[in-house]
Amino acid sequence: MDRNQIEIKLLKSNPRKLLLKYQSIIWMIVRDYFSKGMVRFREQEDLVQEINKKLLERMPRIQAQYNYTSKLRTYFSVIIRNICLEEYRKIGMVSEADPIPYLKTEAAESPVDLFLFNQEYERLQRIIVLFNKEQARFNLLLKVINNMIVVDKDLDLFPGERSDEEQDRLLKEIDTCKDQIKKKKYIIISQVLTPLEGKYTTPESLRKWYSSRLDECLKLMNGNPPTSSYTADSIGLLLEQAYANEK
Amino acid sequence: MDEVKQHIDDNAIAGYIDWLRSDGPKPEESILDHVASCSSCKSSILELSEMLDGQDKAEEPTESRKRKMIFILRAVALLAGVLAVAMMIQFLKPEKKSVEMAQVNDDSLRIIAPSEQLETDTILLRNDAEAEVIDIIQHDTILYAANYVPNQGLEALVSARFRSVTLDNKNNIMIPGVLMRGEELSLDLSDIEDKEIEFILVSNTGENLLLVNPKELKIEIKLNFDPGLYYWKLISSDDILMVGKFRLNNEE
Repeated sequence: MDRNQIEIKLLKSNPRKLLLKYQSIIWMIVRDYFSKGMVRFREQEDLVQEINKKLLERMPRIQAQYNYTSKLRTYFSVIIRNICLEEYRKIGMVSEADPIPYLKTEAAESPVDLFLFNQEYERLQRIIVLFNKEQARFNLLLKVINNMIVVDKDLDLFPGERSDEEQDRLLKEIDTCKDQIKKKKYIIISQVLTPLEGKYTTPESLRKWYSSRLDECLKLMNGNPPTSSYTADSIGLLLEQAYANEK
Repeated sequence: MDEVKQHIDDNAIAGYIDWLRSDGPKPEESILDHVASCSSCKSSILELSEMLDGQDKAEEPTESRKRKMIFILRAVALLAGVLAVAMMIQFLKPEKKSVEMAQVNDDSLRIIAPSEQLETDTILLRNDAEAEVIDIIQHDTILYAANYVPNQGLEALVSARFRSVTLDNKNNIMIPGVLMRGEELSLDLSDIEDKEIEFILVSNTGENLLLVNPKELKIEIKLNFDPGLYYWKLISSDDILMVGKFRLNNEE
């Protein structure tokens, strides 16, 4: 019996015990809210108590609504976060967010920096995945606009199959974007995307589309309330660093 | 992009998080589409997936420590098992017969019977005074060697000169230092003035083995004794005339 099965069994038979098991998740979420300045340090315990109380009150509903398609732990973390947000909406922002330590430090090759960098890069990768059908286009534009090398793997994200020759031709065409001004890049990518997506998108609408997705990506990277201050340029630096690390 | 008004439920968000963390199946296309178009869902999924990653990473050291502890416990248990089996084998192994050579008196050792000899691997020589047990290698030669241990009391007499000796020609009763088992010992005591004499063969432990009262003053003894060191005494009616010794060896 794996951990999830044990936890599901507890949900049915002994929800209080399950709640005890999940105290670390509750504290993890509350601490995250504290680090974002949404909870005062001394209010953390009160918030944890409030969450426990509400979870107990809602337990019958949770038992009825959980549909076993996800890990119970994940499902509970979603509910805990919702309760946190409810409480936050009641009281509003209570303090300034703690500055995030890695924003103060300069880029270095220490293991800590590397760890933080990897964490950030992973976050960016996840955000790209969240764009679902648009992730291929966003990923391609992100790389081209930031003068990164586009490889087969990036084109594979687009639906449909292409011959090796076709793939090579497209990669060569994309490669011509290097050191071009942004306007020219959108023109080239607009042409490349036509066979990849089976439809033509004008360079201007492509620019607008990328601009809106980039804004969304930056919002997600920075968090809400903001804990980072990524810009279009710093995302480029993050990509460059990732490429250097891969090399 | 227009956000879809109807948000996905908590189960779908949880499922999406699991998939994003490579810990669950891919959500339905409709859910993927909704998340792609909903910045609020994107935000909560991203936030929680990272938090759960952090939680897992925090639990990793404990897990690895647990695994390490289990490994150590298993190794110790295995070692203890091997030791227990080894001790059991040692315990069940037939004990080798040990022969104790006890001192009969201060200056002699008990002669072990030939049947007891040359059969054992281990012999313990116990020194009662110090209660110390000495383990000796090449044990089957020990009993044999015990027969050759000199008797300190008799040794002192061997080289002594006796005032009462009346032998004019000692050569007649000289016995070679080394004799072979089964050999015949012949002595001519005709030169001895005192005719009331006795010839006593003594073991190295001081035990009288043979007493001969030679009437014709000639002795012939078949040496069928065990190999070892033997002493002989020639005694008159009132005094010791002579004491000697010889080694009786096995025939080659």
